[in-house]
Amino acid sequence: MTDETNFTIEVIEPRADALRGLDSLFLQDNAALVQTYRNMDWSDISSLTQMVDVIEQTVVKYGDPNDSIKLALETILWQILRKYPLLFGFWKRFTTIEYQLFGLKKSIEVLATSVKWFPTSLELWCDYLNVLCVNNPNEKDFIRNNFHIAKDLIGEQFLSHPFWDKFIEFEVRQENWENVQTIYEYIIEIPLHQYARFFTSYKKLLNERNFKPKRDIDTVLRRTQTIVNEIWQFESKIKQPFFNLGQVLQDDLKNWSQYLNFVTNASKSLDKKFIMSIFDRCLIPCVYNEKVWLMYINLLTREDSYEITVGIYQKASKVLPLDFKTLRYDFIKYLKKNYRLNNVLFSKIFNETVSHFLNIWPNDISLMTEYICMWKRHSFKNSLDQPPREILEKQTSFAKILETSITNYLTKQTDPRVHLQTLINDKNLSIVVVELIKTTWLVLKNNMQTRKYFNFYQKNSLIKDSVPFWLTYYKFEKSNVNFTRLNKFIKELGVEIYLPTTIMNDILTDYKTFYLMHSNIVAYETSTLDSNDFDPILYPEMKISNPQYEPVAGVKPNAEWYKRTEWKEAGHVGIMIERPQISNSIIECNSRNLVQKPITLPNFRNLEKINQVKINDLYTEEFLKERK
Amino acid sequence: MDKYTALIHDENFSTLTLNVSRYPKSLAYWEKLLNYIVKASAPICKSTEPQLLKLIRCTYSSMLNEFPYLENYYIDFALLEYKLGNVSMSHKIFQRGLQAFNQRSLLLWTSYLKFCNNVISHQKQLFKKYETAEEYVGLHFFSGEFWDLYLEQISSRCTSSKKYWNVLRKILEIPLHSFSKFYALWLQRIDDIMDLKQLSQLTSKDELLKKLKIDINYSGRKGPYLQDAKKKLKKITKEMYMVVQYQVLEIYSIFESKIYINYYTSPETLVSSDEIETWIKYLDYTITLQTDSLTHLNFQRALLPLAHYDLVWIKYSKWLINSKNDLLGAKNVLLMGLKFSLKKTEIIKLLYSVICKLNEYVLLRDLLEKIESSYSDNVENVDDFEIFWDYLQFKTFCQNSLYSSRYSDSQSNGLLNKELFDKVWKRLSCKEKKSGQEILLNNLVQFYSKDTVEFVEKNIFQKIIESGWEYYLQNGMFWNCYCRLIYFDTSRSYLDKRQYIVRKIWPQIDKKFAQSVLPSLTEFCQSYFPEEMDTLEEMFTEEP
Repeated sequence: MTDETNFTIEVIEPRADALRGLDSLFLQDNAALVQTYRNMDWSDISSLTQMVDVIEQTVVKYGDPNDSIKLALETILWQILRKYPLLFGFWKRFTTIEYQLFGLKKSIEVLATSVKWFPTSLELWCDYLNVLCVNNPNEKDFIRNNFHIAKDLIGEQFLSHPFWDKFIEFEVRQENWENVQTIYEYIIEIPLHQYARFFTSYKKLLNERNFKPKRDIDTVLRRTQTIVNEIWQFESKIKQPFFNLGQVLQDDLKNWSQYLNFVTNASKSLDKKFIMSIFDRCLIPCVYNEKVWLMYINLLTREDSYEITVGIYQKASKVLPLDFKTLRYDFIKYLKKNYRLNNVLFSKIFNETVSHFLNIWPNDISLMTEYICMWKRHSFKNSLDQPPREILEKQTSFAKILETSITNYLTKQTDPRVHLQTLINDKNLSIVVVELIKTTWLVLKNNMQTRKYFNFYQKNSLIKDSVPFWLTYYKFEKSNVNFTRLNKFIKELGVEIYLPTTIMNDILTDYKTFYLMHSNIVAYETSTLDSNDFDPILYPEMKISNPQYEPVAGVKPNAEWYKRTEWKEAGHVGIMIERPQISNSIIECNSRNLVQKPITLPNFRNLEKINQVKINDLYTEEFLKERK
Repeated sequence: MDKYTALIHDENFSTLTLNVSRYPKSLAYWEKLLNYIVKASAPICKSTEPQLLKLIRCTYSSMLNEFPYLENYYIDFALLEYKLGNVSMSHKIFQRGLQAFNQRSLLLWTSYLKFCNNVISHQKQLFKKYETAEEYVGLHFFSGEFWDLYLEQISSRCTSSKKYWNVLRKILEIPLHSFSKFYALWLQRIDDIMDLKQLSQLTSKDELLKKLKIDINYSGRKGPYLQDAKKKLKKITKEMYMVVQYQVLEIYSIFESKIYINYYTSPETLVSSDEIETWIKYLDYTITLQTDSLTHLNFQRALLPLAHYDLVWIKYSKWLINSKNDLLGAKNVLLMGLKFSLKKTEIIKLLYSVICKLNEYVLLRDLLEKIESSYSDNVENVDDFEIFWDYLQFKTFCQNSLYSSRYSDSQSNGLLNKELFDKVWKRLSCKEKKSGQEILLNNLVQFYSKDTVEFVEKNIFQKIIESGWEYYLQNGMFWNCYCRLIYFDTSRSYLDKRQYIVRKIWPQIDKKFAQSVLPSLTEFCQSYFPEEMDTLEEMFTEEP
């Protein structure tokens, strides 16, 4: 057996193509397997189920296939479960398959993995603990330890009685009566479906063993009973408690939302662990529902320590579909807000999170802004109490690292040890450049260098269309009140510099104002003296919402005008029509001039296309109507 | 008692005149008054009392002064004078009407020409009128009536048929609502041709030979040859018909059929948005056709029902600027628009810029003064921020020009001039009662020299803080602007400004406004010195 077969789901990314390297004869003989795998529809549960069916058939067919076949079958299952770890039925079937292929030890390992990847699954924990009790009855401490882990994870679930039965049975077998009592004491407070049964057996135990109860259990019973009665209205309506692909039923969603509202209602003062277990259960079928996650986080941030909250945030940002942005942005905000609680930890989590988000949303440039801000705040910490020299040193080194990172990115020599460099991509490079320029201009106050940067980077195609870059440039020239450059910039907008029209409109409006406030008539006349087509007052006004605006000095209608799109689309934008036309039209010639020389006969353009053009003939219709 | 005295002592009459003088912009009152006078003086003839006639004339004249786009009333008025035998007055009234439309009113022209047909006997003079009308309204979609008149006069007054052929030939090419009628005339005319030689009236010999292979000097049997030539002419006519028909159908089905109001309505009348939309599209369509006289005409047509909306005025002037480079024309259109349009903000905005480009600064100052005086010298109290804002910008521009060359003292300069600055301060002191305060603040921090920054800080920001105006003090934008004013001051060093903002400005913010102020300040801090985020948070958030 090669080492490769020993991989676990956590450490090794499953191979992209599970069937790679298989014997071609085998592939021929098992066309169904190949076909099912190749055509697998990841969004269709029946397609996935069929895949597992085929794997099971293959296992039956071969009994003990060779290692590479085993590996291939195993890999397919890993692939499915990695994507959908909440499919508990698949874990169960995987365990059986693994048992048939490799034997008991590995099948137990699969179960151990399953409860790691799907820790809130009651069924999987029961299976796992069952297998442990049956097969390794001597490893008592190990088993007890697992029972305790499971207790924290699933012990509060409404239907967790099989687990508790098993736990009690385990301790009874050890005749560890003290532990048994502790368990009962714990259970009676939990609103379980079968709470009454546990009360009865606890009372029986007390009688048989002559134990003293640690408190008045009848009071506890009454309380538990009340809660069970109250939550029964919700519990009874849960139709689908398990994870499945596709939409969750509307009724279920509604029920869950009411249930969650009920338990989180502060006036109920329910046990926190119990409330959390309801969230955990809800997030099995509703794992792709951002609102539930947000509700959960909202509950946690109210009182809990940040570790739990961060954990849930992280989990949610991993599992939620990529187009859900609210929770993920919320996470960033949360991290920034709580940074001061534990700056080392939060900065670390912040960096990881930004890396992760940039992976899934490479086009989102705001992430880089957030990152740089946190990076500067954390790694270049400086305070006004420090000597000026130290502060400026920090700033200089910040600028240096920015510049190196940009250069490295542009020369494709990124250094993976510098975190910033691993984050830069084509989209957000401009943000880094802008930060460098801002630091040079406003902090280091080096105008010469700033202008050099502007000149250098605007030639780069990645920066050329960047809104922050040009806005910074515009601000810079405004602060220098440099009208020559500003005029040039305004003129190039929309012609050489392409920014979104709304942004351009804002700039044009602002520039007109800025010019009027800072210039005067003499300067205005001088500036318009040599260029007739540009002026800083009317030109920006005319260019608003018309970015390609070019003033024309008394142009004659273009002879080729009829070839232009505007002409073909006249009257019906988007539909080009080769409309018929008299090309030597005399309609603009006054009759007093018509006498002077003979009128030429008409020439036509597009006459042959006249029947291709269909126009709703309202004219004739109405004429005929009137005739009637 | 004569009619005049009776009328002016009439109670109804005085109510009506009072109404008119009280609400001079209400068309209905004017109409009532005029009708009343006309009714009271009926029948109007040469023997009507001169005082009464004077009253009627004055009423018409004043009414047309208030509403220069009332085509029908010019006609009524002119015909009244004609009835009284004052032909030259009639001419004047028609011409005054045409003037109001820049000569582009089809209705006035057709009425005027009908009138001229009767009173002008000199053929050349009459045709001159027709030619002028042709120039301005000849391409009007509904100008068929005009062309009918023209052809009628030609055939009754001209001995040669040359002119008739030419004019008719031109009409054929115009997309007219009643185009087919003229084709019928044309075909009839062709049928009536008896001699091959007559074909030279239509076009040159060469053209006929080259394009239709018709030789006028054909020496063979002329009868069948002429028949053949007519067939060829009819074929080319049919082709022309198809093209024009296509154009007419296009214009009619997309635009003309959706336009219902082709006349002036009072300022109180609302035009449906569909119809306005159609006009805008129609104008865009016309512009792309690149036939300037038609574009002018259609703009004028659109102005008739939409005179009180700013949009056509603006579109017209922008077209003049963009495509015709006609700044003077644009200025005139805008000035006219200023009179008619109910919404004036956008028109004034564009007008300022056009005037600057024309270097007519005297006019600019006049305009600014007029705006100022129309708000009784308190333009800062106007509800529409844009009016005030544009006024302020151009006024500052003028102010800059006054002092820049002679004094170096920047505080008498531009916006910081006392009179202007007072207006700014008064506007700001209206707080939430007026709009645009944030825009104002944002622009006030765009001064970068030491003196101006100090001036603005002292006279705006410090003054507002001293006054304790919560509207600003709880607004993050206010503090954000204050920080930016300092941060972009080119005369300060980095540490200087950072220190000033963190240690001088931030402590002035009342903690009770932390909630509303923090987001804006955080944004500022994130963009310019994230290092101080901790300080900011410590200052404004309770310890978690």
